[in-house]
Amino acid sequence: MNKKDISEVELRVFITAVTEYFQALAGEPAQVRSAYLGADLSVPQSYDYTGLITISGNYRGCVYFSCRQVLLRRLLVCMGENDHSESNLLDAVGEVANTISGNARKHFGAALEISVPVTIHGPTESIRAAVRARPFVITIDWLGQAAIVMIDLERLV
Amino acid sequence: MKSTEPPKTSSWMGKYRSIIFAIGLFIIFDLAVLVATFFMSQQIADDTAALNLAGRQRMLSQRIAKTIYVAETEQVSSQLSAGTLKELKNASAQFDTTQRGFSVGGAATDTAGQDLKLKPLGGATQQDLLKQIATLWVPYIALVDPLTGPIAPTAETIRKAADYSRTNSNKILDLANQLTAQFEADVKEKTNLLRIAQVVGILLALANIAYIILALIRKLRESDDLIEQRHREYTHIMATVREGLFLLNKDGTIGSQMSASFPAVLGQPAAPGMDFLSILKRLVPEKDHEAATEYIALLFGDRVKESLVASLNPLSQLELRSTEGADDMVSRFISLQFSRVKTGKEITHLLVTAQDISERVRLTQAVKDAELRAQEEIKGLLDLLELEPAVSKRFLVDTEQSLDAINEALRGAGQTRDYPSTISEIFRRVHKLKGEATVHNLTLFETLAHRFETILSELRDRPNLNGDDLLVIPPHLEDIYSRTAKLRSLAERMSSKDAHIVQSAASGHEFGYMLESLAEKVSANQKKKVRVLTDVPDFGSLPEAKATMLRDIAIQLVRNAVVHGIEDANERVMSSKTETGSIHVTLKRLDANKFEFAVRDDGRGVIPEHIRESLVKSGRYSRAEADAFDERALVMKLFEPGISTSATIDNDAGRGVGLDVVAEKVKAMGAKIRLGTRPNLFTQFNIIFAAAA
Amino acid sequence: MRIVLAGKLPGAQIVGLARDGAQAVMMFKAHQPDAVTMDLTMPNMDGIRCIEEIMAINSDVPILVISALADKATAIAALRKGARGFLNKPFTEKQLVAALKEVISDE
Repeated sequence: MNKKDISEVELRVFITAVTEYFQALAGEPAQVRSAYLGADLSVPQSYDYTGLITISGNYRGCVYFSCRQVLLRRLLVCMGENDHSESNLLDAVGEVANTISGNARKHFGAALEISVPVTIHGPTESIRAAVRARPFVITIDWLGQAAIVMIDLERLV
Repeated sequence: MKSTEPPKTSSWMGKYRSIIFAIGLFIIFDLAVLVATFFMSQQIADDTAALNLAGRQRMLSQRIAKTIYVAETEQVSSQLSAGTLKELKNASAQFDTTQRGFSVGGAATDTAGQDLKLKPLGGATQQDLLKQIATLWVPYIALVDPLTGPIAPTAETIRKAADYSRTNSNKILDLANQLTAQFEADVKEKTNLLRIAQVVGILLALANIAYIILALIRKLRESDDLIEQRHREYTHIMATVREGLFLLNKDGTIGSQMSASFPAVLGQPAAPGMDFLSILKRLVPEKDHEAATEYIALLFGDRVKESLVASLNPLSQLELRSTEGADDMVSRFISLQFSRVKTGKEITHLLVTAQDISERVRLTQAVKDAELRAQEEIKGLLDLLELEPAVSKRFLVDTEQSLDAINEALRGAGQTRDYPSTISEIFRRVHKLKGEATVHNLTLFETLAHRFETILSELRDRPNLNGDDLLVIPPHLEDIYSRTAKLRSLAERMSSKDAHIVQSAASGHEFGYMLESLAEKVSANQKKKVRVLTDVPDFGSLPEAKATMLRDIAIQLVRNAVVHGIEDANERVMSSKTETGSIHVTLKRLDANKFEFAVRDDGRGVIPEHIRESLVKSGRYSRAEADAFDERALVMKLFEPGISTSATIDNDAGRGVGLDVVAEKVKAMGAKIRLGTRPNLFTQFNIIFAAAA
Repeated sequence: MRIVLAGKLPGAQIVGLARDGAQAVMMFKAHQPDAVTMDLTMPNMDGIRCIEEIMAINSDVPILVISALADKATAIAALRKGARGFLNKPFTEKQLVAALKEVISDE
């Protein structure tokens, strides 16, 4: 039997989590700029911070959010945090990943097992275990800053 | 639904048998005591009367003696009064009657002057006493009688009686005393006996009642326990059962007992006493609600057979309208089943069972989807195999390139943010892909592209297109990508076997045989009758590189001849041809280094007008440009990629499919190709090449 | 269907086979059969009206309605008019015989 594929509805679950998170924080939603199929899982070179969750259960794979440091700084400012230390920057990107995981859990229910976010600074060679030949890549824009959400998931049931 | 039997009388009797027995016993005891009391009281009454009489005998004996003495005294003074004698007479008569009554039975007068009947006394002591009294009394009465007779007694008779009285009166008194005492003792004894009997009887009755009460209490407690246990179990069941369960009353309300899960299954608040149909109204469209109302009425009526209407249940698969909005990713399905509940013959309730069948429905749908998908893929693969390998491979490669280009356009949209033109570009590419799929008769890709187009045209018409709208595209793109890749790997695996046969055909004989079997296979698929005649003896002498290329060309041309040149048997007969079409394949040596390879079929030929139509239809040339081509130029267009006349003739026939591949190989061989054709007569390709460069 | 019934329901006799609703009512009057099977989609008179008319003649006769499941509402309406049971098309011989037995039975 064929693996069922990820639909637009499922993509939206992940994207809405991010755009609404930014909306809630800054009163300014993030905009989707493009949605396409990635050649591999690699994070674009210029995006140095990544928050990643891995998913098992009814779905298998991972979802990550990646952006530049400057976006995270603005995020921290919006939160009223002036300490832009490395650990706070990683916390901020982890928080976005957390939001994605929270929204996913809300929509897909208990059958979804989601890891705690892994946060990475710098090139992410460790992101390897691809389940799709062409993962979904969605680029978003918030206050003129670009970021991407990468969805590499397959549905098992 | 079976009606519940009322408890059987026999078992009901059995349950209380001991109590009923005890109650029976109680009644018997009471009756026995009553009867005993009655009889003994009667006896005591008799004995008391006798006792009184015995007492009177005592008094009478004294009165008799006294009146005799009075009479004696009166006699002496000659004043004997009639009253005294009368009193004597009465007393002695009364004594005598009573004495006789005591000893042999008979009438007597009691102390109150009432008549009564005496029975002879039973006791031996009493009879003995009576006898002694009689012994004294008989002579006594004999002496007294003359005193009370009509003739006035003489002094002598009075004196005799008085003498006897003086001697015996006290003895009689004494005996009467004894008799009275005896009666007294008897009465006492009987009274005691009666008292004992009554006490025992009452004690037994009390014990019995105590037993009955205890037994009843025990029974009540037992049944209370049973009821409570049943109630507990029932409550557990209703609280934990996953199905929604309740009895529907005739008035349409939910019965007093309802399983706790029912509201959850329904996704609606529900409670006993609520109107079921109005709850339903919020869940189903008006039409279904009406049908459900009718269906329930039907089941409450006793006319229809339950088993023969179950399939009509309009609520057997309900898709629930999502009330929570975004929280429900997938819609839920529930099933409501109704069963009649009868009491006796009357249908009193419907048992309603509500189940969440989402998973079942989803699985059924998933299986259907998977089947459909697999069918599509198999059909896609078969369509691809109909094409010759080079063409199908190129189609798939082209498709992947188109998809890559579409993906690039999507990626680029992030920078340009010109979403309308991105969509337009993608649309153009998808449309072209669809066109190519149509040309090659690849229904699967045609369908996929069509679906994609539908989505895109909807996006194109959207007024304020933004990045968010693009999210719908990648899943579709991915679908076509993955199917293309799958078909490509399948097709490659299948055609590599084909290629193996072809590659191994090294000698002229093998080459000929290979072409014949290819034609046989293709014609079988096309349901045509074809015979291939080969004359290729010099094939084995060709250099390896040329032989390989010629093989590819030959496969292509023979396949084309079968698919597009030869008509089906009916059409051939209509054109006054033999049913079986023939294809001649020849390889002639023209000189030491030059060869001429020819494939000729006796099919319908190439019709230049059809090529012209198809050029215009492909969109590559305008009507004016196409009209400007002469016949020769038109025929040459067949060797351009993507040109087919198939649509203008019928689905299978048409020239040009894959001929561009032939042209490529011909060019690579450094050969020349010629096409000769006469409508309805033949098509012939001639390729002239040099064996060594 | 005629053949199926003759074989599988001993004692049953087919007294008529009507082409349309109007004919069915006429034949019903003429033969007074013990049971009626009826397709809901008939020319000239629809099944519902046909049932109404038959019920007017003899409200005790069991009627087995035969129809496709596509229109449950119409089938339910037919049963509300007095038909006893419903059999959905397509059906097997076995199902038909079982349904007829059920419809004729008293209990």
